[in-house]
Amino acid sequence: MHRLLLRQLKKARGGKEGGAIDLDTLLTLVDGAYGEFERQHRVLGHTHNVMREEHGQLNARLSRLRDGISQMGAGFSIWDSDDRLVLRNQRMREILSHITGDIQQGVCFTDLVRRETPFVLTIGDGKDPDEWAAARMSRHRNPAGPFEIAFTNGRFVQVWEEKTGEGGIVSLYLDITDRKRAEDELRQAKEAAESANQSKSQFLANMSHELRTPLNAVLGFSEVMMSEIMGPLGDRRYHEYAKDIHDAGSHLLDIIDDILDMSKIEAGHFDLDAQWIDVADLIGETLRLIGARAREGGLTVVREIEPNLPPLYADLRSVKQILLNLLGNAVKFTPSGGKVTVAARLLPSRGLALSVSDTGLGIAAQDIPQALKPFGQIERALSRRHGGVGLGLPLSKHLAELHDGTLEIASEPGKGTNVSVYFPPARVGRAAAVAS
Amino acid sequence: MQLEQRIWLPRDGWRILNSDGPIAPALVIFFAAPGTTDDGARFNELKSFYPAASIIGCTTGGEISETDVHDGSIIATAIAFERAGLVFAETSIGGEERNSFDAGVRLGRGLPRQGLRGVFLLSDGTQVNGTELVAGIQHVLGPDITITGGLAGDGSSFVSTRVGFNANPEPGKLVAVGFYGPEIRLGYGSVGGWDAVGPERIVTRSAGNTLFDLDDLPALDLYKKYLGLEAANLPASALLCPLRIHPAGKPEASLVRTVIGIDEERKAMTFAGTIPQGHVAQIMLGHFDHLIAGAGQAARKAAFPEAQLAILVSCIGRKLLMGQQTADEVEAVHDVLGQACRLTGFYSYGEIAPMENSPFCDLHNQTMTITTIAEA
Repeated sequence: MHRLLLRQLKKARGGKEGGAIDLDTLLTLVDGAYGEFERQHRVLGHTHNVMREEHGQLNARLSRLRDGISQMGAGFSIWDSDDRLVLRNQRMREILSHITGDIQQGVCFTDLVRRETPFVLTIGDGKDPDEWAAARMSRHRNPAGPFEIAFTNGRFVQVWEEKTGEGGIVSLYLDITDRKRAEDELRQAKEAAESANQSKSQFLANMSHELRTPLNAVLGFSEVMMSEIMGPLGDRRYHEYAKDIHDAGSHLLDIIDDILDMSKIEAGHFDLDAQWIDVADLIGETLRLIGARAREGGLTVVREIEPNLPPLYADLRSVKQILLNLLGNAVKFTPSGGKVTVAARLLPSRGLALSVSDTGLGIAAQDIPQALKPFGQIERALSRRHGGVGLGLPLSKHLAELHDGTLEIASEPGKGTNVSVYFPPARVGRAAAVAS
Repeated sequence: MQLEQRIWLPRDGWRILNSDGPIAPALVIFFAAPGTTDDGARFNELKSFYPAASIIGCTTGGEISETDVHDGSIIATAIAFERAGLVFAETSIGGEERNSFDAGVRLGRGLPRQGLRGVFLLSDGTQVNGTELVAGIQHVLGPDITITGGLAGDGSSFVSTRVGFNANPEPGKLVAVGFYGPEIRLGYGSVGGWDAVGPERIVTRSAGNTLFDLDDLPALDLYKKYLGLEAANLPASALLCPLRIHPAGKPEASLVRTVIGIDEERKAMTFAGTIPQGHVAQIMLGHFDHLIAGAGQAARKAAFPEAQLAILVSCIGRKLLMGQQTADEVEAVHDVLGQACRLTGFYSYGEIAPMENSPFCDLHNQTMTITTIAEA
């Protein structure tokens, strides 16, 4: 007899062996058992249907994932907790086909490394293959960010590995050969450009020096001739010629000095000799040098210097050169009857501002960057008419920057130009110090 | 070790089931159907049978004796040890005191560590978070002491459960008995036998023992789909489909959680145990044959040749599901452990046993959990 029926009979006998069977109890139990079986049957049948439906949904999800992985631009692989290949996409096969040949599902990661090692470029440089393989394994087991492998076939691969939840590894292989080549070309071009620039600066420095030596003779002897130390020149025209020789020589010397300074700055060899400067004094001195040319050009020169101006901690020669350049430009490019203003004032946030404005030709906004490049004088015609090699503005800008300052140009063609140089507050002393 | 087992039935009163002769037990463990102990008379009768014994017991969702599963009975097992020592710890929970971890700590502190071989625990079944309780005891005793036992039951009502130590059982009580000495030998096994069906899903929204979403969809809707016609009988019918959960990537740390309530408005489900967010979850289904085989498997894990007594703590969910076939799982255990090993036990609101392949104990749901005892 079935054990269930035996139990039902025992219960119907009131738990006593051989007792009288209570038929109602027995029927209730038997009826209940049928009900329980039917329920179990129904539940299992329904679950079967639900599972079939879910199976379909799972399949759809799986094929979507598989499709996504196979379409990836990166080589994708999953390794299980025993480090065996569970899955790899088409791109992974392509990347590896150039190196190790395809790898089959179930292959052990150590096997991939063993096949990969002979094709690793750095091993050709005398690196121990076993050491490389050991390092590769250790990186694989304890992933810490991406790394690159260069292969002997000229391919570069970037590898990303991460641990999976089940204790395996998910691995991305990115072919970065094109990027590496572009980077390489870029680096070479940069190195070549830097080297050429270095040579240029060196050449200019040498040349300036070579030019200055004969110029000393030109300047010295023309001065001797002008002062007629060794007796009169005779014809007055000789005297004028000697002065022309001296003026032209001086101009040439200025240009050579600018070139030399520019090349020193570009080569990073320009050293500042900072000291406390009285800006008002310096402006006065500079105006005396430029005053004659301004008067000759029929220009009015105005000074707007804030009273009680604090001293400036800067390289005297540089600041003087900035002022001379800016004033020189203003005088050069302002037609007769115009006005040149030189101003100095203290700005709480920007420090000490020196500015030179004129009522001259002006510069169009789009030409300002060009004007700040060495040798970038705007119009060749201008340069021919006004002389100069266009080093004044860029040199002034560099000199200002060497003082942690800035040079700014505001200009309107036909109306005039304002060039301001700002020296930072750190370089500005206390006004009282001057007063005392 | 000597044993004597008695059964009380409403119609017949107390009756001896088996006895090793006149014994002087140190411990009596009884399992009582809800309501049978309310007037205190049954406890007093037990006390008079075994005046020198410490008596522990609880209410149940069904009582187990030998190969029978009863409703409305009391099964008492008196155990006389030759040399093994016993230490009891008891505490209460409820009212102001709601912290299950702290209750576990109090129980653990009541059991000296020296010579302790294992702990058997009976706890209130409706006011206690079993996971926290076990963590509290292990916090004191460490992971290498095996803790087994279960949460008291209240038939299929889930309202009020009772536990007693040398007193008539009351709600909110917990008692732990510590077994001491080199002669004592304990074994355990805990197996469910449920079939995981359908895909694994991630617990995307949960709070404590309340589950809202699996894979960003309401868990309640998923359960209704699986239950089909049975969905009309929720939450009772959710017993058909407990939930298996495990931390991502750690299927070996799986736990089974039983549904104890639903909230239609919030589409939420309440479980008898924590459902941590981020865990992997899979719906399970009870196939009678597989559940019965699971009980046999638990017995094989707990078995050792000298085992004299096996305390079966099986889940109320299994009994509610299997109905008259429930006794088959007790028979399956009996078939494995043999005639020489006496059986007792009860249907519980939560089984306590170590995790598979881990020293840490935890609350289980829907398992057959067996503690075997012998004295060498």
